[in-house]
Amino acid sequence: MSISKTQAASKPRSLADDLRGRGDDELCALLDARRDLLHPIPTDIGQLAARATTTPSVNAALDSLNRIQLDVCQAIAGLGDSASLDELHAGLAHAEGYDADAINDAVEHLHLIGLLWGDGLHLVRAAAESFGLYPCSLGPSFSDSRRLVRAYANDPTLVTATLSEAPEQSREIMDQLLWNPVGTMKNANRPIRPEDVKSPLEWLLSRELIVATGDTTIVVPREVALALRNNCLLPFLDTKPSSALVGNLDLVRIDQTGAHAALDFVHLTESLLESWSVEPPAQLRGGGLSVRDLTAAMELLRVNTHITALTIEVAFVSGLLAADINGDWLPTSAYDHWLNQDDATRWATLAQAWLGMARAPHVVADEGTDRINALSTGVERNFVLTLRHTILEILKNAPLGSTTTAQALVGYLDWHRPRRTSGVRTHSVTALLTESETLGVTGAGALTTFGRALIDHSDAAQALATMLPAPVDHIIVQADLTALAPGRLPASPRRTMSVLADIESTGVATTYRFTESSIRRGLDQGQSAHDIVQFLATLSRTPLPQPLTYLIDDVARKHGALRVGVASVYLRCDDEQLISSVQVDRRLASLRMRQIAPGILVSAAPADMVLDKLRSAGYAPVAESAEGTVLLHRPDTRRTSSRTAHTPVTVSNASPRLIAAAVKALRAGERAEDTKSAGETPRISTTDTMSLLNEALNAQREVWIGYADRSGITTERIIEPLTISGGFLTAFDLRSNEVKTFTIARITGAQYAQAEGHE
Amino acid sequence: MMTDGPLIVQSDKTLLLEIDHPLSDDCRHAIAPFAELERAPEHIHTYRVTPLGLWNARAAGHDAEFVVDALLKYSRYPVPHALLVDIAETMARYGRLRLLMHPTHGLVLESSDQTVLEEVLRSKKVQPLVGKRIDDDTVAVHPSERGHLKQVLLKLGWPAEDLAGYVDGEAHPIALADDSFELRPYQREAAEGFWHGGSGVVVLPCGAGKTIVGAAAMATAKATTLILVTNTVSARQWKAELLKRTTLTEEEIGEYSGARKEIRPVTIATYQVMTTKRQGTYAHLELFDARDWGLIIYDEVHLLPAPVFRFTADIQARRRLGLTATLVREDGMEGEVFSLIGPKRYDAPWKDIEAQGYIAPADCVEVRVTLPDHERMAYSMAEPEERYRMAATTSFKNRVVEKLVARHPDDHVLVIGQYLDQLDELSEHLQAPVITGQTPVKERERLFQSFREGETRVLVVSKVANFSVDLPEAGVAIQVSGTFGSRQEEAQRLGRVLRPKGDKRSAHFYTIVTRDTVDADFAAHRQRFLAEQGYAYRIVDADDLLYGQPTED
Repeated sequence: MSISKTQAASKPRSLADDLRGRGDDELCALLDARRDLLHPIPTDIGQLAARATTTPSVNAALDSLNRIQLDVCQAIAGLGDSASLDELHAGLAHAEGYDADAINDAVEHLHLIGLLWGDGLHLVRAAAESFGLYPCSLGPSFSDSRRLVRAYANDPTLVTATLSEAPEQSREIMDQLLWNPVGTMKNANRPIRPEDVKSPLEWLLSRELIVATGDTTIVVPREVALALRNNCLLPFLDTKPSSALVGNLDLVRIDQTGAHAALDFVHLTESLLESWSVEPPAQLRGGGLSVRDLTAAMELLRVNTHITALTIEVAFVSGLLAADINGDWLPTSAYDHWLNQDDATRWATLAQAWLGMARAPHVVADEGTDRINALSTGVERNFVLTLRHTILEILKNAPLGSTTTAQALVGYLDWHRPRRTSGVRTHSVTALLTESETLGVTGAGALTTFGRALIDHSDAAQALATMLPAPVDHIIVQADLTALAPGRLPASPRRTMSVLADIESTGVATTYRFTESSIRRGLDQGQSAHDIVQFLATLSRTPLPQPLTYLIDDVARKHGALRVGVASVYLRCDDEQLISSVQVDRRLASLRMRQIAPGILVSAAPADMVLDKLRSAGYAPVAESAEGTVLLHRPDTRRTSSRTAHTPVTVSNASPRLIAAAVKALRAGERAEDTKSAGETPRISTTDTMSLLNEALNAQREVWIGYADRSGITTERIIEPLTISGGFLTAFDLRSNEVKTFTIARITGAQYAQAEGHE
Repeated sequence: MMTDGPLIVQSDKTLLLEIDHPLSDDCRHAIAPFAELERAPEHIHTYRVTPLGLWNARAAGHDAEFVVDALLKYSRYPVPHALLVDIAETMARYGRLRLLMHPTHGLVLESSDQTVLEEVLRSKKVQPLVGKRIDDDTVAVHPSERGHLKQVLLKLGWPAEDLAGYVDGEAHPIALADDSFELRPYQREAAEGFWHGGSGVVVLPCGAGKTIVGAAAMATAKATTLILVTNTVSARQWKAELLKRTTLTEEEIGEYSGARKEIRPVTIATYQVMTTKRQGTYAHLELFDARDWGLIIYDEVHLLPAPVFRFTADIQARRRLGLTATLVREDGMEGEVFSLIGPKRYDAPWKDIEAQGYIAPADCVEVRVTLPDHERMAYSMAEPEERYRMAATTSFKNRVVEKLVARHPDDHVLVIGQYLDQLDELSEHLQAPVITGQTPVKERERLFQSFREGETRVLVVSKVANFSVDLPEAGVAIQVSGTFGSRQEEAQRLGRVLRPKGDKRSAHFYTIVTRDTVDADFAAHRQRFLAEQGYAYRIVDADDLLYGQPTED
């Protein structure tokens, strides 16, 4: 133990050696940065080192690197094992944005997290391999095997000197290959003498500025690339992230924008759930909401799919919406409580739910083959929770009023976690920012005062309440049958108003329009014309215009003039006396008959039962058909349900084409039969088969083949060869009338379908 | 942080103006240049901010800051930031592209923003309309495609500012007859606004003297003028008005209609003759090229037919004045009016002009009649396409008309309807002459004259009276049937009675509607229009009117 320690102190020979030489603080830092190594806790340093060098763990460590750390890591991989820090600096000194301190910091970090070890820059193998075959876009070294390359390695100026004599096009190709070392070329792997050069690529090959690595692949030797790049490992370095913030706005304006959005969102949620209270959409069998119901909600709310899905999902997560046992999506009892709270509190409930929501409503709006249904498990995305917190944290730590955009955020996040860069991230960041704007957590791209309170877990509702316009207690009714609530109405009148009138425009204020159907809606809910007029007159600050009261009276006059009910049976009789006696007959009390008009009784009992009961009570009723005619009852004649009679098959005139096709099929059958008569297809060798098929292909003749299928059963086919290549025969199968591909090895035998010259 | 302003800005871009508020007048003037008035009932006026409206404001020289300031200044509640950003962005789109007259290359499209130019030039619709690229910011435009290009660019969302100027046309001396009258202030402003802008549309309510604005524009242009009007009667009215109000003489004004084909320094043509097809082509469209016109006036521009639009696209170098009572087109071609005739140059709300006493206030009443039982049964069984006619022409209406006519013994009464049988019946019932499309023009003019002079007190007219017929002393209009729910027609008919009366009496506008039928549905649509224009109306039952106590008036 003590020996290894001294060894480690002098010169570590492995990561394990290096780790053994580290202090406790350093090991803590390493484990803190690479939490995956803690599960399970390694038993000794050797095991720790072994675990820390596995590909999955190294990948996780690489994922945690930022742009500069990752670039330095790649540069070290490009240098090859055990390079020195000076060599690293030399290799990056010409890169645009070179910053010695930033590089040293990065090296230190890589060392700290155990990707680098030793005095020299030893990169853990899995990390080096993660940059692929050509880290820093440097090809392999050829100085051992190629004479000219060795010369270039000894004197890099020779490369530029050689290239300066190259034709223009060759130089252009070299430029393209400089940061992208691999290319393709036909027939690359052959010696080319300078005097035989015919193309720009051949020119380069002949001078060994590029080297063939296979029949069709070429690569720029490491020595050549480094000479041309002036020893540069990477073209540029991003040492600092771009700012996530793009500007600054007056906080008042941000809060105003946010307050507007917050109110609108509360309103959206209310409109949606009010509508679903009456007409709930059904839950799909697999859970979730159908696309049709989503579209209907979208039309109701007049917002796009994403915002509709957001409204639905937030209502769901905040417990205002749930599926009942019948499989309908319905507002919960919590909704009623929520409805009676003030706007700011209602918003806080929704915003809080959004903040902790591990669901991504924007995926519902994604076009694609697999539409994801809102409210289904398909909407769950754990990473959005982290991403949302990251974004809000950035804004929270920024100066007040700092604004951001999705683009700036993505740029910032990409720098911090370059390996996690993806289209999905960009898409999600954009969506999350849209959502925070919609909820008013941000306004115009900056955190609102109440949004900040929400993140800080202080009283967000209180913070919003001071920004909201005071609720109004009146409406203004106009002669064009519209009404305006010039601000927010309290919950109860708001609810009544949305029944009595259609909402035309929402925002801080609400515009309502009274129509015949909206007034009818009010009457249907049990209000009388008088109630409605009274309610409006009390609420309105101006006298009700005459056309409105006229409208209400007019609708009320017609309302309920027609009555609709359900009964299964009616009794009619011209004799008032008889009908009255039936109604009061105690023996018939179980039929619960009710008189709806003079001479007409109805009952919910089935017709047969009513007839029987009446007969047994001594009356003589007859049944009536749906058309009102008397139905005669003859019990002895029975019938089954009808069935369609056979219609004779008529022969239609066959078309000439059909006839020709039939003949062709017949002929093919004949030919098969002909060969058949000569016995089974003779088994011949594959060589003979090939030559026969080739011959037939050239002569365009039909061939009879035996063909073994996968299970070894041989079938016989008549074919016309089309192409033969790579062990496959493509041919027209005359029996099935389609082009098929046959494996030649499975052809058991072949012979011409008919004698030569017999066409 | 909240002001107590008169304006509520909604996130859906509607503006609600409370007119009882002390600042409402100031606010209205501030927002009128960019917001379209949608409804103007008694308490709250609704405006809408549309891209066209914002571009109209840009064309009138207002910038986004002006719009944003107006909203912030008068808004009662905070204005959503997104809306302000959207307004600024929309407005910035106007004028990025300009049509100019280049000294050597002729007509060109120039851009201050190269990316915008690249974007529009990539459009397949723009490509055939432009010529070669002159430099990074400029591209040549075929002079004949000036109008089409503007239409296409508007559809692409990059409306071009047309600064290419106008031809002067053939000069012709025209002046206003200075002795007889004086231009009303708004008429002068309208004519000046138009001339300053070059081309465009003037929006004035019916009866506010749009003809005079036309005459004033002609007197400014002092050039040969082509006037396009809806029909022959209207053409004669224009002629009479021009003779009275300008120095033009009988010989200088030509009529180009079905009856006559005169081409004179001032020529008045009808839309109908312009759109008459002969062997598949519009035979008379060449009238546009018949003279070197210095000014073209489109009367009732909201009715401009499509072929005239197409031709107007080709004459963008001539000054164009559109006159109308409403920019609302029932075919939704407002964008075409904007790009081909020009932006709105002047607008005065109906109620403003009424307040100034230039048009008469009107009392609007809807009388509801109930179908007699037997007709009700017939109605229920009628085919859908027959229903309106059946409901609208119930003979019960005749009695109501009679009663109404009797109620206004001193007024001139117009009874307006759609169906000839009904009009004939009414004419017989009321012992009044009837004018329909079949009445010869001479006879029509004789009757109108007699009506004007007071010999005839009641006149039954079909929809020929909808447009541009000047009946100065009609104090009462009774409409018994109409073209379904047309708001335009309602505006025109209301206009019949709005000319100011000598004794400041208010006008009466009655609509007789059959309850519980499609007639009432259509009426609701038109009544909504009236209410939105700010005309309070009442609904009365025919039975109350016939048998009840006259409660008022």
